[in-house]
Amino acid sequence: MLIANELSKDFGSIKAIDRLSLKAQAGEVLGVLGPNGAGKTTFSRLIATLLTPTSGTASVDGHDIIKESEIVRQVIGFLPTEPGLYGRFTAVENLQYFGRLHSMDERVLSQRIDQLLKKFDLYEERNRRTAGFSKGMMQKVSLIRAVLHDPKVLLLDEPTAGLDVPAARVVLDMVKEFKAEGKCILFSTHRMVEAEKICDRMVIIAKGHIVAQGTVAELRQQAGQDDLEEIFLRLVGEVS
Amino acid sequence: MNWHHIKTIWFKELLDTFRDKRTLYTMIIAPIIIVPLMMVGGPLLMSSQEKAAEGKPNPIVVIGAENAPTFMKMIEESGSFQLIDSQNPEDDLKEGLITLAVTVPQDFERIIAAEGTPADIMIMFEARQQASTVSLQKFRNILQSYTASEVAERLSRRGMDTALLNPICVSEKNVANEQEMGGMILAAIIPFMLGIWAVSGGMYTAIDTVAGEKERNTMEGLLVCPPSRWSVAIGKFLAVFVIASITVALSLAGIIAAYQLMLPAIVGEEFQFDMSLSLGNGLMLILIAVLMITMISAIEIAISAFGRSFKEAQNYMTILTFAVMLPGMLLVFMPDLRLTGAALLIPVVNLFAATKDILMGQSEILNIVIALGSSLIYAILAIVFSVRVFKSEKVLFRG
Repeated sequence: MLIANELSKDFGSIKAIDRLSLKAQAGEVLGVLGPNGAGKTTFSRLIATLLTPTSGTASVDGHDIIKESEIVRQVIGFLPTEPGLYGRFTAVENLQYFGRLHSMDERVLSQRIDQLLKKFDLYEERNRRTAGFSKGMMQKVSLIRAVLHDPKVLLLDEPTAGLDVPAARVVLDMVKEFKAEGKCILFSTHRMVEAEKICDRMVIIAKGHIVAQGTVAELRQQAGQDDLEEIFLRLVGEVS
Repeated sequence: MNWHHIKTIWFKELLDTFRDKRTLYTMIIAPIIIVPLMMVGGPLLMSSQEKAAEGKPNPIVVIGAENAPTFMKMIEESGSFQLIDSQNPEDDLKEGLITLAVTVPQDFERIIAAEGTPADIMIMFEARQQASTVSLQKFRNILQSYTASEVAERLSRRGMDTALLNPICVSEKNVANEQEMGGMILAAIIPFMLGIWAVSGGMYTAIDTVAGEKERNTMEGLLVCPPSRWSVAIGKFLAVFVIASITVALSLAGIIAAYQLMLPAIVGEEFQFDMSLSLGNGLMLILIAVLMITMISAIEIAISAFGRSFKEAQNYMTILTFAVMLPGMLLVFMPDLRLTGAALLIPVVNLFAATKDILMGQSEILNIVIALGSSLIYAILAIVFSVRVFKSEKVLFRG
């Protein structure tokens, strides 16, 4: 579903992503872990066609991210680190705008918006302008926006950052649900515990490289360590 | 490019702008209230001061009034002056208690009757006070008629006609009709106004919709949607274009309202000018405005994309404002500047000059075609440039 092949991105002399290759299947949650500045966000942005790779290729659902960028943007749902909603628009208006940008049918769109708002317990707030929303509410609207058009691949960049425990729980439950629907999910985070709970496999990135990958059990075996945080620190430390 | 995408982005940006009070202020309140106030305020103030100075008799002091009874009678009959006493005329003048202090020599009547050396009359006035200068003018007029009647008497005593003194009889006629006078006034103001409101009308929307979108972290969410960068840039450009056009239209309506309705009603008929345009000239001016707004809106989108934040974009816009205002000012202060030679190809300046020529009724079709044609190319280049800036990840994701 998602294949990256020797993908690289330079910013001047800095190699933000350096010949990174990975694969993720439908119905799989792939954790992308790494310290701040490891290249997680740059990787998401490359797959989301926001940035153009310096070299290498990647494809989403069989579509090349450079040659078929517009189709790629149709099949992915992207949750940026910051919710990024239009404050002078209500929750519904924000979602309508993005649905229309995905050329969704108006009737389908409004049904889907209602259904998702109810699911996230935001239906009562639907006609309030989002400028007054809490961080958790905004993150929920932002997540609804990412899945509104029923994308095959979800790119979630730190989806629980800044959320309190109940809100983070809602988000994680949703991710599980999306996985059950057969979506391929790239879950980028720097929280090991969260990753262990939700991810089928993980890739650990540091300085633009993959330093380790596999299931949690495989990572434990590779490192000869039980404590995930310890494994993470050791792997990341090796390259820094 | 996809029309559905462009339309979605365009309408969303318009709605977003209309919901923002700050934009509404620059877009509507400023042009339709401030422009007419500026236009009407100056003449209104001037004429009210003039009227005040002209209306009631001005207090003056005449030292040695008893020496010139005939002349004093003329002053009293004019009804323009109120004669008062003053211990210290110079100080009273400075304080505005009197408007003139006139000194008549002791043997005034005798000197006049002698028909030899002229009699000296000294007038003190205060040039900083309008009432004093108005008074001076009126006093001179009375002196003149006194002189004229004295000269006529002297001539008639010698059996001569006063016509002897007037070898030339002058009559003046202004061949510029009311419409042309109106055109001249519009030619001085409209290019400048067009420039200012084309820049400031859409500026806020341009900043908010690009730099503001970056600052609020909404840009990423927008750009991961299917619309191409072309569609995004064009959608935003169209929103800025519409807002700037509304502002320009409102400001022009403000100018016309000020000159056609408010000035004649408040100040007087002398401010009544015919501001009507022929259909062809009207259409030409609309075309000029469209080209100008297109160019400026596209450049504003590009400038805004360079800004990392709202503030930074605002700073860059200041430079654009000056770049457009300076040639506009030039036209106001150099009324004889005509559209010729290299001026035909300078962006913005050529449109200003063309506007002026059309309003003055002095336009030459070839010059106008060159100015409009080159501006059309600049406008297209400006749009292409703004889209290119939008496609640059260095610009869009810097900071």
